[in-house]
Order: sequence, then structure tokens, then C-alpha cells
Amino acid sequence: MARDRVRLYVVSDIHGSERTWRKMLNAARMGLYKADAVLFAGDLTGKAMVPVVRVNGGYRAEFAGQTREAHTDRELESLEQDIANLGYYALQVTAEEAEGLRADPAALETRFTQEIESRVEAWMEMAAERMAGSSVPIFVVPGNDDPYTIDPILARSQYVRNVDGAVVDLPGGLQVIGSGKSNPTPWRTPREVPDDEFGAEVTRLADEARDPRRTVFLIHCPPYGSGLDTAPLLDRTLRPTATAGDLLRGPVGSTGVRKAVEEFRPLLSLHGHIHESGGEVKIRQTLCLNPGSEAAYGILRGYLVDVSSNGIERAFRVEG
Amino acid sequence: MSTTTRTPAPHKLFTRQSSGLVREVSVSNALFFNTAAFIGTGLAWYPVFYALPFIPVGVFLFSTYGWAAIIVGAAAVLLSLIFASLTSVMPRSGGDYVFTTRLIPRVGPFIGWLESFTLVFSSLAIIAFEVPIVLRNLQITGRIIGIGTGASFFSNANSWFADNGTITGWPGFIGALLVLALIFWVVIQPTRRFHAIITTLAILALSSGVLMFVFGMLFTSQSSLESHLPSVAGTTAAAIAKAAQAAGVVGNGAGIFPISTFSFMAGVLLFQYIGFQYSAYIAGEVTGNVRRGILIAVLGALAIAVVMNSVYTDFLSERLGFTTQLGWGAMFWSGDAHLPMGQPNSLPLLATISTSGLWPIWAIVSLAGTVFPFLLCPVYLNFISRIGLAWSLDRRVPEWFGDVNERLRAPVNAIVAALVVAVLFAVLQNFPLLGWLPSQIAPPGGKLNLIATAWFSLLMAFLTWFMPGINALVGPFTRRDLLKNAPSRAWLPLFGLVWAAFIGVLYWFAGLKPILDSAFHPNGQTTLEYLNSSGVLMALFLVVVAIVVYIIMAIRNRVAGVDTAMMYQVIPPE
Repeated sequence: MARDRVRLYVVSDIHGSERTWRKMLNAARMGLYKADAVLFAGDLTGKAMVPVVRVNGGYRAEFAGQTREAHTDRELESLEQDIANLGYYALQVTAEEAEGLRADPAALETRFTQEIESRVEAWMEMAAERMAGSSVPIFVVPGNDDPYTIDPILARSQYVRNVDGAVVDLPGGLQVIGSGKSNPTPWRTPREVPDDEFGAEVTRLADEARDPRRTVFLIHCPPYGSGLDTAPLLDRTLRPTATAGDLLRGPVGSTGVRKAVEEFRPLLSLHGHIHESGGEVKIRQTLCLNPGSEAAYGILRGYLVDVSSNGIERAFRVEG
Repeated sequence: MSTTTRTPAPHKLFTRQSSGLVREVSVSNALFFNTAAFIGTGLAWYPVFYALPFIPVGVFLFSTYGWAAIIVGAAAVLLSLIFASLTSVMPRSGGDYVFTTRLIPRVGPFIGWLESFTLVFSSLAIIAFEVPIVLRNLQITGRIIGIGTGASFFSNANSWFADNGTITGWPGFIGALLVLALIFWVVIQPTRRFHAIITTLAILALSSGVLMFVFGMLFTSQSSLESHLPSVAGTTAAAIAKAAQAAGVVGNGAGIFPISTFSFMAGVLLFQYIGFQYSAYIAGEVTGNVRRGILIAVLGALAIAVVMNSVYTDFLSERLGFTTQLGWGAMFWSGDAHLPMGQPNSLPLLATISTSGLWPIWAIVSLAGTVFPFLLCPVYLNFISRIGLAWSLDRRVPEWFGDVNERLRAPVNAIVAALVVAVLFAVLQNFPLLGWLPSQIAPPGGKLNLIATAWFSLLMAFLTWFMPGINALVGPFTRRDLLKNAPSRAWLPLFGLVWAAFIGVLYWFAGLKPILDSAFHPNGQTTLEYLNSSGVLMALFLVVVAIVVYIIMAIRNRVAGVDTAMMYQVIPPE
């Protein structure tokens, strides 16, 4: 194995899944993949809160097609951990409080934000604690689903480095440029920007990099039409569209990112965003990857990319 | 900003709207995918299989075959629960290959590869079994129309696709190619359209089964069949009964004991049922609640399988004369030169002999009996391609093998590769190309034959049936992180143990023991000749091929610097 070789471990879209976050840290800390750096391509936060409703001296929650009850502190802790492992946020409430939240979207949104921030804060502390003394850096960008309120928490992290909107050195003489934005989606998520503006930002960042052939793009949204961005096309009611008995699917990535990749031709372009479109593809000389995501099932999907002075030696999928 | 949706119950999720996995196979699609995967030729031919194991078959409420259907079906409920549980925590396409490779420590990748490789070739052998049956059912449909109309074109339907009365040679091969071309057209449709075709045709074919049952029970009779046999089929019920006695297939009672004999019949039922669980192999494409979807699809298909193989088959057989079914079937499987009408005892054909005035109904049923063996083939190719995709992602085969075509959204290379093997089987069935082999290992007449491929297929499917039990037994202990919240997790080891024991006993008596007994004490054959004629040699050959491919790919990956042991290494979750 060449001395100048570095191995990058790429993961994405864990969406609040506590188990997969722990797995990612453990994989890095224990050297399971012999990685020299971890790059996370966005979407840290979860998408749902599970009301854990107080009933008859205990708690009851419905999630993942099951009704679970807890009658002791230990059972409650286990229940909440299971909810967190799926990427959801457990919310201890009475039935009245749950109804109240349903009736008040603003209050619900505030509660979501609190839960999201609390978990990101806990994860950053966990990373600092577990990775202390480790030589494997962790670089992240947020994703379009991550509210901007987590940025200060990421900035305070003692171990994880947010490279959103920055050009940062990686091991092996590489540089990474990061962006957690995306082109507009039907869901109006927090970090969406018009595609031309998005492309301009990526281009501006790329121009700051030393050498395209030693630069890694870490951009949550994949390039348009790359095959890493294929998703069901939706109608105005956000339902998948079909014609002639077939579901319409198409590219939903960013044309701005595509243009930047084609013009700048970085060594490697790492993405996430479209969970079901994991894979690898070459755009001109650039290897583009999307690990995909099965975080909701506790499965951590990733890619290992070996880079030497000659360029990319190999890339292969891993899961744990 | 994220938004929220409102739901009525206090326990329901508060969700942020966002994108997620959107899959394309509905529960009903999955149910009929499974149904099309197992029925095959059965709709018209189930009674033909009474005689396949050549053991005494009796009747006590149900026939020995019907009891085997019920008993194997009851045990297979455990398999259904295992698949539903495992797919709910690993909803991947690839089925048990994925489970075995991930749940069995150290040797899992190798066993998973061997299990899926043998399953693929078992399935390809079944395709080879079904394609000529599609042609034969067209002949039978022609004969039914011929009986009804007297038109000579249809009365001579036995000559369709046939060379000297047998579906073989160039006519048989061209017919097989036409069927395979149609299969290819169906299987390369985009996923959603593919499933729409399969679902629609399966519903139509099942409706024909209902038609057969209702009209068969109401309007056919043993006496009518027996009275018309001499004029229509040129034989008598007595002659057919004599053939049944001579073949040793006439028995008394349920015939469940001794187990050693009954296992042969249970083995035939495993052959009939294989496929009822295949929606688990496309779990990565099933919409909604995967656990519920797979459970409904698998249990639903299993229920249909049990009813079709017990109630449907036994009631209609009793109606038309049970011993006639036994004798006619035995004559078919033994290649008797005096086979009535030169055709097997297809239900609609016998119904036509009994009640020719309803020939249009029987022709429709027979045509549906043609649709199911046809449908089975694209379904098999579809799930085989998904296994190929899973192999490719794990670098068990070259990466190009699993490339997903953007337009079709299907792994076309894997589909084409499977089809090429199916064509190869068709060639070997129709031309005596294996005659050059030494006589000890050459198939009879130098061609593959149906019985050998069926037996071979059953042997090759052993790991497919056995390993889910082992996975359920050990998975909760080896991959606690993945199976922690699996449905029925606490029961999985018991389910696995019972299922593995059931399959172990069945394969011991119906597979391994007869092979060992016959191989070392051959009756008029050398050991090699016995192993060849029983399909064991072919199975062993393909196991060796699987091992060689595994080793080659391991070397290739190592040379490329890819440590495959890392690919699904367990990461401590806490």
C-alpha cells in the first residue's frame, strides 16, 4: 500500500438516526475501514417526532408499524433510544399536549427545532468524547433538510468540522470544498437556493482551491442528470406522477453543480440527498459518488475512496 | 422552513415533509408476483404431479398430494414470518442472499453466494421446464378446440412445434425461442409496467382457475369421462388404471407415513411452491410498510398455493376419477408410448373429454394454463436480475453485470445473461448436443429432459429453503444491531429451528438418503450413471462452478485492492 495513499470514508443522509451516527464514529475511531478522514455529505437531522404519550401511569408510542408501551424508567429509556435509532425524536407528552401541538403548527415547529438542536448538540459532544486522541478528522456539510440553527452548534464542535461554504485542507494534500445547499425542491426545505445562485457559489469556492485534480467537492445535492439524482417526479400535490402505467422518474439534481463539476473537473465529487439513487458515475474525469441511505433501518451505507498521488485508485461501497 | 402535517390520533407521528424512498411495487403487485412465480403449469396440470414421485398415493379426505400441500404449507408459514421479519429490517432486493451474507459471521458471504447461485440455476432450470410446457399447453388447447369443433388443424395440434410427435428439434427450438422472445419483451418493461402486466395476467389466469373449479365440479363426471375415453382418447379407464397399478402409484389412506416415503411427495410440493416467497427478493422495490406488504404477499400467495394444490386439485381429480389421474400421470412421467392422446392429464383436456359441449370454457382454462407457465418465466428473470444486482453491488460478479439501465430502470445485463442461459437450456433440450459426452455422464439421448431438470432444480434449491431457517436462528444473536426491533424477533430463533429441521428431514429422506443409497448400491447402473441420471452430477458441477467464480472474484478484488471483508463488516452500534 503506497505511503501517499489516503482513504476517505464517505457517508450521507443519516437523518437523525442515532445508531448510524454512533456507527459512523465507531467505524472511524476503531479504524474498521482504515480511513484517514470521514466526509459526511449532508442531512444530519431527522424528519419526524414520535409522541410518547403518558397513559395510565405508563407511556405509549406508535412508530415503525408497532405500538410500544413503557411502564418503567428503563423501558422508557429503551423506547426513546429505539425511536432515536430510527432517526425520530421522542416527545414525552400527555394526550392533551399532543393534540395541542397538532393544533398549533408554530409551537410544533419550535419543538421540532429544539429537538433537532438538542440532538445535534449531543452528537457533537459524543464525537468530541469518542474521537478524542483519534487522528481521523470528520468533515461535514449540512443538507437541505438541516435548519440553519444547527450551524452555530456545528461551529462550536470540538471535533467535527463544518466545511459548508469553505475550502479546507484534507489529509494527503487534498482540499475539500463544501456546500449543504440544494436547488429548489417541492418541499421548500431550509437550504434551497435558485440553481444559478447555487452554481455560482460552488464555482466561487472552486476557484479558491489550489488544484482541481487534488480537490474534493463535498456537496449535498448531486449533479443534474448524473444518475445519482434520479427520483420520482411529483405533481402539485407532491404525489408521484405516472403515465401509461409507469411511474415517472427523472433527474432532480442541480444544474449549477453539474456545470461546476464539468468546468472545474475536481478529482472527486461527493453527494447525498437522493437516498434511493446511491451509486457512482464519472462526469468527464471526475468520479461522482452518492452513498445512498438506509439510516432508518440502522444500516450505515458508505463509500471508501482510496486516493494516491496518481489520483483515485479505487472506490467501493461498504455498509455496516 | 420545514412544515408539518396533521393527523388525528395522539399517537401518530408528527412529520416534517420531505423526500424519501418511493418504491414502485404495490402489495397486490407483490402478491401476484409470488402467485405467478409458483403456479406455473399447475392450474391445468396439478393432478399430473400426483405421480411424479412414483410413490403410492391414496385418499383420506385429501390425497397424499393434498396432505403434502397442507403440511408443507403449514410449515411454510414459518418461512413467511421469517422473510417478513427480516425484510422489514433489511428491505433490500436480493432476498436471502442479503440476509445470509449479513447475518452469518465469516462464512456468510460464501454461503450466501452459493445459496443464491444455486437458486439462480435452479430457477433457470425451472424456466427450461416451463417453456416447453407453454408449447405443450398450446397443443392441448388446440386438441380441446379440435374435440369441440372437429377441425383437423386443431385435432392435429400434437404436431405443433413437434418433431416426430415430440416437442424437440428445430420446431421445438423455434417455438421455445418465440416464447423466450416474448418473455424478454415482458421482463425488460419498466418496473411498474412489468408488474401491471404480471398482475393483470395472473388475475385473469386465476379467474380461469375459478372457472375450471366451478364448471368442473358442476358439469363433469367420472362416468362421463370414462365413457368417452375410448372414442376420444383411444383408451379405457381400465387400461389407465392398470398403468397406475404397474407404476406403483396407487395407495391407501392419507399416505403420510412412513415419513421417508411421504418426503418424496413433500419434495414435489416444495417444487410446486417455490416462488411463493419471491417478493422478499424484490423487497427493495415494495411500497409502503414493507413488513406488512411482504407478509400479505407471501402469506396470501401461500394460501393460494395450498388451496390450489389441495382443494382445487383433489376435488377436481375426484370428480374426474382419481385412479385415472394417477395412471395417466404415471404414463406421462415415465414416457409411456401409449400415453393417451400423447398429452398429460391436463384438467381442461379431461373435462373436454367428459363434457365436450363446454369446450369453449375448457379452452379458455387451458389457455390460462398456458399463461401461468409463461408468466413464471419473466417473474423468475426479474428476481434473478435483482439477485444479480445484489451480487454486483457486493462485487461477487463484475460491476457491469448489475448496471441499471436508465431508461428501463432494470439491470438489463443481468436479465440478458439469465436469458442467454435459458436459451442454452432450450438448445440442450431440443438438440442432442451432449451426446459426445461419455455415456456415464451424457443425458439420455444427449438432450436435457423435463424430469431430470425438475429433480435437478429441487436439489439445487436446497440452500434456498434451508438457509432462511439458519438466518432466523442465528441472526438475532449475530446482528443484534439490525434485528433489535425486527417483528417477532424473540420468536425468530424458534421459527428458524423448526423450519430448518423440517427442510432438513425432508431433504434427507427425499434427497440425500436416496442419493447415498442408490449411489453406493446402484441398481443396474454405475454410481456415475446414477448420479448423472438423477441430476446430482449437474448440481455438483454447478456448485463447483460457483466455487470457482467465487475464488476468481476474490482474487480479482484482492488484486484491485478491494477488501471485500470490509464491505459489510459489523460496526458496533453503541
